[in-house]
Amino acid sequence: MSEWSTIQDLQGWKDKLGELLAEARKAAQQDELAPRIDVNERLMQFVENSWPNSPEITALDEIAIQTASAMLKQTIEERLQTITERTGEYQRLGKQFAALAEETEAKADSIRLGAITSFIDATTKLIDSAKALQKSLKDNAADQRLGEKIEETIAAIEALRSSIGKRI
Amino acid sequence: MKQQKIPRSPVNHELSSRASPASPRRKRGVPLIQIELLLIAGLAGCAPLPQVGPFVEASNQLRSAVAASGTTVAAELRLMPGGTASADRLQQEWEVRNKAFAGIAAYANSLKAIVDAGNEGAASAQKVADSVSGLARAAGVSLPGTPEALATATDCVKFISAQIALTRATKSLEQALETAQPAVEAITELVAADLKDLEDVFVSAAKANDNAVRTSEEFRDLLGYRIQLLKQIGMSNPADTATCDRQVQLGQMLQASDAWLSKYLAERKEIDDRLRVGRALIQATLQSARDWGVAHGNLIMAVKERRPVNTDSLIQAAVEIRNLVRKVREL
Repeated sequence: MSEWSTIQDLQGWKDKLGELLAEARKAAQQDELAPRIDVNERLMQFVENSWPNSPEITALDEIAIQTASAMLKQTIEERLQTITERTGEYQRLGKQFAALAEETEAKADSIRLGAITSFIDATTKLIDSAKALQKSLKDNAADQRLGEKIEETIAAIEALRSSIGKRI
Repeated sequence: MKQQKIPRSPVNHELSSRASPASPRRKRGVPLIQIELLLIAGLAGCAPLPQVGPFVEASNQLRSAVAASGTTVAAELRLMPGGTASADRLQQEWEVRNKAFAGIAAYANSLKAIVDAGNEGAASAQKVADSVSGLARAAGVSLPGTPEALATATDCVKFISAQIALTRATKSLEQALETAQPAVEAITELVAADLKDLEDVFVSAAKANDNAVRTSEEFRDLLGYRIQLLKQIGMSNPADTATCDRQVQLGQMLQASDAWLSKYLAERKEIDDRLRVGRALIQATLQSARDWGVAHGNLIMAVKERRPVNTDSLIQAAVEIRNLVRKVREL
């Protein structure tokens, strides 16, 4: 026998709803979800079982529906509030992970000798450009001086190459 | 430890500026320096770096699962009568979580970059040697040494570089893991608490959507009507011929509401299916976050103790998460 089958009249339904509202108040004061979901289910069953569909019974149903809805909305708001309270901590930790990732990537690049390789490749391009410039120089005093400077630069870069060769 | 085989390189003779062909070591006809280096490396005990690939995959899956969990719950809230504001709020809060987990994924990838760099020490040295060679050619520099001597010297440099890279990578990996560990523990706890709240929001939103179906204009009186019919059928006596017509009529009335009932049940089942799969995703995400935190700790131990790390559970969890995310998207 269900808890609804014994209810015979409007007063019986009123009493039952009063009982459910008291249960709902109790559940709303607890933090756990389960008691709230249990009361919600009983309120819905109340709506389904209450009979006949007189205006009085329909008014009771409406109270049951509103109570169930308010309880679920309260749960959602409470949980969203605690989620919001954690957001700052996520921001802090997210930044920490991003910074650590950047630092670790830089170390990986250093282990890969990436900076050295990039530097040498850039220097090689510089020498190619310097030589092209050297070829375009004319046979006058000013250009001769520039040509000497380019020679000196290439020699300096070669010295650097040799040093890098010894470093790795 | 198994000692590394030193490859012979036909290129990069330029690096030989470090080793003269006239060196007494070379005169013996044996690349003695290689033997010495092998011994040094053996004594140093350069262990291979642990596999971090599954950890990276797990981090990416965790990121995707956290994002999918938030999206799933926000979508359920949007279906709820008056739930748009809550959905917007959740989405906004969850965006910060998604960013944090993007940072975590980047961190995991950087660990892999370290391990790869450590394992590719010789290749890196080769790359530098190639660049140096190109530079020397561009500068028109003629380098001393016979090709054999130069090749030997290049091999030695590559071998040393490989060992140095392994050592540096091991140190860097250990340092990165240890630096991150408190943040990993903190975020594991945070996400566990978040997912619990998220599940409550999800269940509440789904129940509200279910209530909306149950109390809708279309179905509101259906169940009460059927309950009353069943009550009357239950009270009648099948052997009573006087009420036979009435009993048949009640049966027909009940049957007439079946299509209505089917529609009602189908709408509720749809909500229940979303709830079931969504909760499974949230639970799997929670478990995955725990496994991920434990795996991070295990990686530290693996690097410290120079032993491989067991990643089976991480791989399995990643597969499960991928399937659940797919199911949720299909709903």
